[in-house]
Amino acid sequence: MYEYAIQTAGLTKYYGRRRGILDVSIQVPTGSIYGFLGPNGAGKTTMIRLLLGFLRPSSGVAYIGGFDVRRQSLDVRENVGYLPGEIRFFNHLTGYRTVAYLSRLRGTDCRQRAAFLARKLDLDLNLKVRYCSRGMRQKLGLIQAMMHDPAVLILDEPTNSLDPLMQQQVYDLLRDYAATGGTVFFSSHIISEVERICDRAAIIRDGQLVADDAIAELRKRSIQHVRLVLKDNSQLPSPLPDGMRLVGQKGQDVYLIVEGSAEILQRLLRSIEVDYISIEPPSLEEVFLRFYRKVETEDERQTA
Amino acid sequence: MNGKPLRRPNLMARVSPISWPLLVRTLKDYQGILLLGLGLSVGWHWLYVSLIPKYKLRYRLHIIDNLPQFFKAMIGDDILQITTTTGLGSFAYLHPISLALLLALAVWIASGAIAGQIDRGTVDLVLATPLSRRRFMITTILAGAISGAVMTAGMLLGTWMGLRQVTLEQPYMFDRIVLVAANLYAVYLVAFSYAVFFSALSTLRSTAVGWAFGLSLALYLLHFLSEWWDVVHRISFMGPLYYFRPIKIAAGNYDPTNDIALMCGIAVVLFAIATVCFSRRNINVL
Repeated sequence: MYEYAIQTAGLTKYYGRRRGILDVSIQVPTGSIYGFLGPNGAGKTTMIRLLLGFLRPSSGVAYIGGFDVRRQSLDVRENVGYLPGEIRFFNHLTGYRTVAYLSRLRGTDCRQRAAFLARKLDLDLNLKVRYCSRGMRQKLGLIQAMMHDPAVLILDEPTNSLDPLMQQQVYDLLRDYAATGGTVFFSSHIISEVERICDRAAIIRDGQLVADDAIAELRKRSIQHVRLVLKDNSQLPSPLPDGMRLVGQKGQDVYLIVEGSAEILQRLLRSIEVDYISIEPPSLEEVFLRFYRKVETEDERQTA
Repeated sequence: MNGKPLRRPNLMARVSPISWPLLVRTLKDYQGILLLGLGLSVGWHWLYVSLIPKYKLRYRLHIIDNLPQFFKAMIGDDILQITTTTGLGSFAYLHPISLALLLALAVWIASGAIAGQIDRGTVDLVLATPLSRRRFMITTILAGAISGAVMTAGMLLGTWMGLRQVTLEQPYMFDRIVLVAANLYAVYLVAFSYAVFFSALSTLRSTAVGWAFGLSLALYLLHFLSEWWDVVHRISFMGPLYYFRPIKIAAGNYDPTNDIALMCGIAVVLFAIATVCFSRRNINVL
């Protein structure tokens, strides 16, 4: 089988002189849920449109399931389900007619599975799209993306306009899908949901990839909030080791920020005696902000 | 981890140049405008033929002879060759109402089915399926060609209905009118082809409509001014109306086969260019 469901190498897209994405290389393992994080305008949608062949890359290559997205575009689209960010349907059709039409375009009868997904997402397919709320359209978008049981799902902000209960159902649906070998490329600017359901995540900023790792690894690279209660006879070394910062102290109660790997903390703990220790794991938000701040600081330094 | 098994697109998707579901959907999407146009075409031609026996032929010829130059230029010098009832009947096909109906249909379908889909965002759903852009274009062109044929047939139907209920002073040669309709259909194909070309390059429907109507106006002006200015007359062969000669055809002394073949050839070339352009273009999000 194929090890990586999605692979890109040096993928670059310029719109005239304006940058879309620059030299993006990713490998999405088969059967994983891969988060693609970035704020609006970072290049997430450009990346997705390049993968689907809507845009022609300025340079670089991309493969989905081993198929070249440019040269084997039909094979790619046969195996991909796509939910656009701003989904728009044929307003005069009902949900049922929409899925029937898209199913006929695919040349396979997906109506049974579409009906199953509609039941799962609690959507009435007999309603005309023009009378559907944004949330209902989003559900219909998910159904049309998943109804042919594709090998790869490319979702551009899939939980947009969904209430928290429905969001949870979508996460469950995606987890079940990934458990059966499906791969999800999950583009989002909502860090908490990527943290909740993704196995890996890439962070994109100004069209460039700034991080691409397993969620757990990304967390490790981030700052950790550490609280130590030192024994009466113990004291923090001065100066503190590199990668460690004292942010507060009340007698023997000290608050530290540790950047990078846990090894720095282990070294410190070997040299002091503590009564109590608590480590607050970083949220992905902190990881995200850290990457952004780091790049911003570098930018500022270069400008200076 | 083992992924889901990969599939190949079915044989139809790989081999057939036409997507039948897309064809049916496109025709259904435009059935309202098509039925309206059909009704107007049938009605206008039926009414026109019905009015022919109201006045004696010689009075009508007298009116035509004395038409101001401005109107003669609008219609073309051919109008002076109307000497028969069939010639009078053919004038309905040259009338701005017929031309405007066909042009509106050509621009409406071409702009709506391509740039309109990008504009509305529905093209993302359609092109996310294993449907190649080439198939998308060929199917859209076929839908437009069928719609134009239906409209032209509607015009013939209107003429036939009118002829059934009036008594004319001269025999009416319906077979010549069929040739006139074929010539008009070739003009429609040219208009549809440049409308498709502009639509294939546009992201906004309004842009495609603007370019197509702008060019139509320019081509009509070329035809109109060629009656006044010799310089323009020399380049009037560049406009499709130069090859549309209903009155001459009705008079029975002109064979439009070459004109029809030439216009169909131009349309096919423009369709091919539009298909290549659409296949290579970027489809951006609005």
